Amino acid sequence: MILDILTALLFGFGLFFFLAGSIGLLRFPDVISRLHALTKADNVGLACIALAVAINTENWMISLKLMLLWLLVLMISSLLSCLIAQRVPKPQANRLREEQC
Amino acid sequence: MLAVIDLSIATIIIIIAAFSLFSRKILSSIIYFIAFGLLVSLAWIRLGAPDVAIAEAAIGAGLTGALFLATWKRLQRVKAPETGEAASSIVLPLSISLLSLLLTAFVVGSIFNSVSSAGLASLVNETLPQSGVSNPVTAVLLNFRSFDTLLEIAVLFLTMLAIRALAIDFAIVQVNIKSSIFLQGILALVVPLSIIAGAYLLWIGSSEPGGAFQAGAIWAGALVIMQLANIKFLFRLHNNGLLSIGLGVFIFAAIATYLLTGSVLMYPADQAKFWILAIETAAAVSIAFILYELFCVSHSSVETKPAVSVAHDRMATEGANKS
Amino acid sequence: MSVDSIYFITGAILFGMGFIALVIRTNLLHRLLAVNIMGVGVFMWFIAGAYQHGATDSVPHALVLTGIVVAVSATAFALALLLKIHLAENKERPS
Repeated sequence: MILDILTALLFGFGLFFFLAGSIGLLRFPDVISRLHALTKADNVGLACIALAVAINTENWMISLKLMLLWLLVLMISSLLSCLIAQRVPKPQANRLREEQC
Repeated sequence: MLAVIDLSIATIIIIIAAFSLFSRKILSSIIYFIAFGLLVSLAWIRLGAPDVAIAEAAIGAGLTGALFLATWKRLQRVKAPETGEAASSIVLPLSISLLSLLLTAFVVGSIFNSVSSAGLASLVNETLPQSGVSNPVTAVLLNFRSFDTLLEIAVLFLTMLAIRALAIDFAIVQVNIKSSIFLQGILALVVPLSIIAGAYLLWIGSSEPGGAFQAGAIWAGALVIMQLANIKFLFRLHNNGLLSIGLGVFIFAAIATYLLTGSVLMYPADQAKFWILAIETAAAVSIAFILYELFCVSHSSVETKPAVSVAHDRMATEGANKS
Repeated sequence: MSVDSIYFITGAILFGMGFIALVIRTNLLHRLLAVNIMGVGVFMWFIAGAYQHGATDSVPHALVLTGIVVAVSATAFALALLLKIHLAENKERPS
């Protein structure tokens, strides 16, 4: 019973974070802000959903593998956002820096 | 009740395929195609085909997408970019579309009239214990229909030979290109993990979903990442021996089994697992390097301008100039 | 509507859409993508046909696995031909 409530709660949080990331992807004005929204929000959402699945499996090895998968997705997605952010065209990056100061 | 999941997956697949096919810009089409491949991999899991799901995600979405992106990038250096415009006249596309819709309707209608048959599942399950492995897909690929797999490895090898025959300028590793330090930094994590994951998939393919093709695709992915980070070791690693060992071992196994048991690729009794594992290992290594070379042809040219800098180098010099 | 009939119809629709795009689009890369999507539609049809409650038929799985590898080989060769066609006419700018 408690397990079901916890699972539903975690799934709800995960869906909320994914929705927030997608809205950020659509609504943010710039490549770098979109990358920020996508990486941060989607990874937290994945953590919630992976946790929700992990507490429902009988075998603890599967839960461990799910957590390791989440760590791997975290590292690869941050790498990818760094690679994309490096290739943002220079006028866009400069304008962002000037707007912040 | 669970049909909702399949309906949503199927709807999203069709929508993304439509975006991929009818987008104006080529880059959008290619990116939608990669996402489409990932969703199709999900569909394979829903249909109970985990082997095909892994292979589709690695080869169908990953490697094909990388090939398309690399070719698109290289074509941009060759000529002025052209947009994908629709044909001017409407009559021919309209008639072709009507014909294809008729074809689709015929196909869909024929499913509901078809006689349901059990297929070959019972036959495979009966003979599975004698095949030496317990994963039915691996048994079919490497024991029951091993001749087809031999021809498939030969097709891969011939494709590589045909592409070499085209005499396109390509480099195994691009020199004089500065690659991102993030990419070089993550290599220490990604490459060993990929090697272990590939080896695990290769070994576990006899009882769980996995096998030679999935392992070869993951190893090819590791090689592609190393190429993008300009690892010079690839010069020494990539040689013709590793490319041909898959086909060579397979043909050797065919001849040896013919000499031992009298028919081609009929493994001697109780030795099947050993033969299958040997063939799979050689095939996986070969597949990895052939797929890597196919990527190199699309991606890299020999003539490169020295020391192309990336944005963070420019920002560093900018900071030095400002202070 | 059962699981496999959903994917039967999806595969057929993918094949039809890919065929339309193959005819309509003029750019060769778009056409290659259309051929690949047609191939995926055929694979979906195969594997939906193999789906049965209980024992799934493994022979179509093996055939589709072979098909995926052959499709990527054909795509790579087509892309190389495309590169060769353009490289034969124009010179490549250094990257």
